Formats: sequence, structure tokens, C-alpha cells
Amino acid sequence: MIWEAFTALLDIWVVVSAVVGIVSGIIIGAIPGLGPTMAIALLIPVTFTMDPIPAMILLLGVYQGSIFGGSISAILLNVPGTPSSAATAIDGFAMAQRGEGGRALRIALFASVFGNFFSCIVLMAMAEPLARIALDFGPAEMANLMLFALLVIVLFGGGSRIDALIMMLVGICAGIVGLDPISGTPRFTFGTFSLETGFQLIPVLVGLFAMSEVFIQVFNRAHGDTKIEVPELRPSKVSFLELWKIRATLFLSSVIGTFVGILPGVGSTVPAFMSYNLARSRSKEPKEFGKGAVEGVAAPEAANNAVTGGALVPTLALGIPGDAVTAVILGAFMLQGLAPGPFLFRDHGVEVYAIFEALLISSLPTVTFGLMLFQVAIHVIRIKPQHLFPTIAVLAILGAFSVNNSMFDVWVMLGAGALGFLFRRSGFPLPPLLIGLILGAPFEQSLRQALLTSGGSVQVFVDSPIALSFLLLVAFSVCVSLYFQFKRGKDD
Amino acid sequence: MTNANRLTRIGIQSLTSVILLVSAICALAIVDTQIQVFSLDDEWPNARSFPVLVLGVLTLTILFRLALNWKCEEGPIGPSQQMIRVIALLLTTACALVCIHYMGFLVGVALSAIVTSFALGERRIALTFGLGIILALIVTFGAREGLSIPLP
Repeated sequence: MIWEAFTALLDIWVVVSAVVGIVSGIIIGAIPGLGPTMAIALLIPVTFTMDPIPAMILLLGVYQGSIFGGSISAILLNVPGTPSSAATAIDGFAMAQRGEGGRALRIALFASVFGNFFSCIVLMAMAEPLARIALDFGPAEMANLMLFALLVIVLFGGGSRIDALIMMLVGICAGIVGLDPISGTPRFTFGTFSLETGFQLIPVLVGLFAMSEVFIQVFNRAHGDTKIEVPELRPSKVSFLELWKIRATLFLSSVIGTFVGILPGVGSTVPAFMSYNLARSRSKEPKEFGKGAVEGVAAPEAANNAVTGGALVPTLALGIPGDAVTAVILGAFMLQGLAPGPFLFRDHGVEVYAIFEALLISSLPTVTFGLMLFQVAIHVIRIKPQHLFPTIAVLAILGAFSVNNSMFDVWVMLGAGALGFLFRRSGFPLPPLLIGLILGAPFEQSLRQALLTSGGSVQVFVDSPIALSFLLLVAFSVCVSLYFQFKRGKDD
Repeated sequence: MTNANRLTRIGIQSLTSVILLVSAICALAIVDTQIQVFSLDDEWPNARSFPVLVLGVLTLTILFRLALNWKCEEGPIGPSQQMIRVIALLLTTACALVCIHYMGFLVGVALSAIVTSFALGERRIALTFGLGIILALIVTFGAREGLSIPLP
């Protein structure tokens, strides 16, 4: 299958998709406020007429590219393009201030590619066996697994747990609208035909992440022209020997990024800071951290890029997205007819392995285009919001419309944008809402199927060892979360 | 501390929580009319069980949050001028979507782009209109000819 998948990559459109994805990802990621989630959501309409393999390679290229792109503005402006680049900004900006911006960018690029490569290998090794195990899951096991995934997002997603729980429940409520998955009864459709299919994922997430950002920009509009000062990029090189010296940091950070990334809801910001702290604690010169240490740039970059492969493991093998970006990717896979979950590898093995191999091979063009695009990205950073965000608004309307060629979806997108603005202003996290929307319907379906087959007895959820182990994981997660809260309270 | 950043007893978090709470209670109130359970489907759990459970938990969680933060200070709703700007953009974008129905996609998205650019502070008329129209032309023809999307 691996060879068959490789031959599927020998197509000019696959190469073009990979290059376009990486290039646009790097450029979009460099712009503060435009993260990978928004970039992928807005580019989904472009992939409608494409075959599944080039389409997904384009979107995953955007994902990879934009995570690295986020470090460009972090290093040069101290403004992280993506939240996960915040750790990179600490030492990257310090390096840029002493005239080593070009060197910091090169280290970030090589670390990103290393993290990416490592996590892709783990993805290839883990996803298929995990999916094979999940093939044996019945409704009770799936219900317990989804309960665990939903709970982990609430407990470990960062920020207020109660706010995350509220957002997750709001997402599940939004997923209830439409026809009942078992009996086909309309629910909260108010007699309209358009609501019978429920809220489509793509218009909702385009509204939540793209349109709400337009509203936020309008709300935070600064008076007068603010000139962006970008430090001069002097010619610089990073030798293989320099990278060899930080090999342990690169490896450990990639391990952290990949395996923490597998956990639902954690995202890429937490592993980036975890790796940064680990690199500082292992360093012989910890005082250099914060003043422009090379390892302070390499560690978070390797980690946040390694998350890309790790987060795709549960997304593709179980159909459970780990964060907002993988939720968008899950939606894109579904639109291409490749429904993520245990059956994906059985039914579309060649396509999935071709995508994995492309992710692995695309490390080379990422280095090449990354080096070429530093200067371009600097010009893009200078684009003023009043010229950039009208484009986002127009693409959001097009993106929402193109899913079903329906104006109803555009109205849903606008409503989601207004709600997204309100939630973001209030500090309520959006990823749990999105995950709730995605997992709500399958969770209910599994729960009800399990209860219907057992005649309404909840015993079914503890009967099998797999189902029981997921419940034990739920209990363990709650205990760990409570322990950390107790410990933090004691420290304060 | 400026007026805009001053913390208040009842701020945007409570406002959002109250909106969600009212929505959840309304949904619970209309659940019987919006989800009909027929005699064939009356075995527990039916089509109504899960929504009632989720809405009930949501209502209790929001009430708990409100009670927990009752004496905490919160962020302000925001300066009225800034909120009005956002509401105005929301309403004009809604008008642009109505325009799509009557005048086509090109006119609607051009209007949306012009309004967004204006709301973000662009005051050079030629640039505001020029950017909006060029953007709308590129996106409309690109989507129609390049991506074969049947735009209205």
C-alpha cells in the first residue's frame, strides 16, 4: 500500500498543491491574527473541484506552513502570528534585537522541519494500528471514548474549566439542531427545511474564526496609522554543526510536541512552553534564556510543529479532533468523502498513506520556500488591517456559500461570527464549542445505541474492559485536574 | 486605569452568561413542541432525552458560574462607540447579504468589502471603493470560472 500511495504522489497537481499550500501557509501564518484555523477554513472552497489527495495535501501544507509562518512575526516583531509562537518570541525577538533576526529565523525553520518530520513518522506508525483497534469498538466503547475526549478538552484545554464546559455544551446543543440521528425526528428546526440538515461545520467555523476576527479588528481599531518597524535582516547562516549541538533539544521537544499533541484539546501552545522550560532546565547556561538563546528558539518551534502530526493521530484514526485546527481538517476530509475514523484506513488506505508520505516529503520544499519567503513575509506583515480584513470578509462569505451553494449557510456564518465576537470578548474559549459541535451528534448516537441495545441499562458502559478502561481514564483525568488545581491554590 | 479598561461588577462575561442562560431556558421551555416523540419512539432514551439532559446541565452550569463570579470584578462591555461600530458592520454585512439575493454575489460582496474597509478606518474614498470592487471582481470571477461555484 505504501508503494501504491507513493505512485499516487507522482502527479504534477500534487506537487503544485504541496508548494502552494506551504507557501500560502507561511505567508498567512506570518500575519498576526490569521492563524492556521482561519487559513485552512478560508481555503477549503478552493479544494472542492480537486481530487482528495492534492486537496488534502494543499490544506495540510497550509497547516504546516502557517505554524512556521507564525514564528516570523514572533521573531521580528515580538507579535506571535499564532498563539503557539509566543514561546518562540521570547528568545527569537531578543536575537532579532541584537541583529540576529535572520539567524533566529533559520534556526526556527530547521527546528520546525525537524519537528514536522518526526511527528509525521509517529503519525504513520501510530494512526493505522490505533484505527484497527478502534474497529472493534461498539457503541458503549465509542460513547465512553468520546466522553473522555470531551472531558479532556474541558479539563486540560487551559483557561477556566467552567467556561470551557459551557462552551462545549453550547457546541453540543448546536449539534442537536436537525434530524434526530436515530428516529429522524426534526429537532429545533422551527418548521424550516434548511435547518433539517443542522448547522454545517464549515460555515460555523468560518464564522467563529474568520468573521469574528473581522469584528474584533473593527472593535480594536487603532486611531491613526501605526507604522510597523521591522528589524533589518542581515545575511546569516546556520551550520550543520550548530544544529548538531542542539540535537537533544530538537529530539526531546519533538517528542513532547508529538505526544502531548495526541491528547485532545491541549493544542500547540502548551507543548511549546513545556519544551522551552525543559530546554532551559537542561541548559548549561539557563541565564541566557530570554536574552537570545538558540535553544530558546529551537525548542518551542520543534514542539509546536511536532503537534501537527500528533494531533492528526486521534483525528484520523478515531475521528476525534484534538483542537480547532484539526477540527477544520476533519471537516475538510469529510467534504472530500474521506470520513475520519476507524474505517478511514480500511476504505481509503491509499489516499491516507499518500497524504502521510506527502507530509513527510514536503519537509524539503518547506526548507527551500521558508528560506526564500522571509523577505516576502516581512512585506505581508506590513499590510494594513483595513486592506487585509475586507478580503477575509469576502472569502468568509464565499467559503460559507460554497459548501452547499446555499445562502442559508452564509447567514449561519454571519451569526456564528457575531457569537464568536461576543464569546471572544467575554474570554470564553472557542475550541471546546467546535469540538462539542463535532462530537455531540456521534456521542449522542453511540450513547443511545448502547442504551437501546441494553434495554436502558447503564451497565453496558462498564461491561467490556475497553469501555471500563475509558471510564477509569475519565476518573483519572478528573483526579489529576483536581490535584493540579489544589496544588496551584496551595502555591498561590 | 482608563474608563475603557475599568473593571465592573457586572461586565461582558455576565452579560454573555445571561444571554446563554436565557437561551437555554427558552430551549428547555419549547423542547416538547420542537421535538415530537411518537409512541414508536417512546422507549428511553428517545429523541428528547439527550437535548433535555444537555440543556439542563448547561443551565445549571451557567447558574453555577454566575453564582461563583457574583462578587468578582469583570471586564467592561466596552466603549459604546466601539460596540456601535461592530453592530453597524454586522447590520451592513446583513444588508449586503440581502443584496446578494436581489442584485447578485458581485454587488453584495463588493458592498461588504467596502463597508468592512470603512469600518476599519480607511477614509480614502478611491481606495475604499477601488479595493472593494477589485476584490469582489477577483473573488466572483475566480469562484465562478475557476472553481465552477454557481454563485447567485
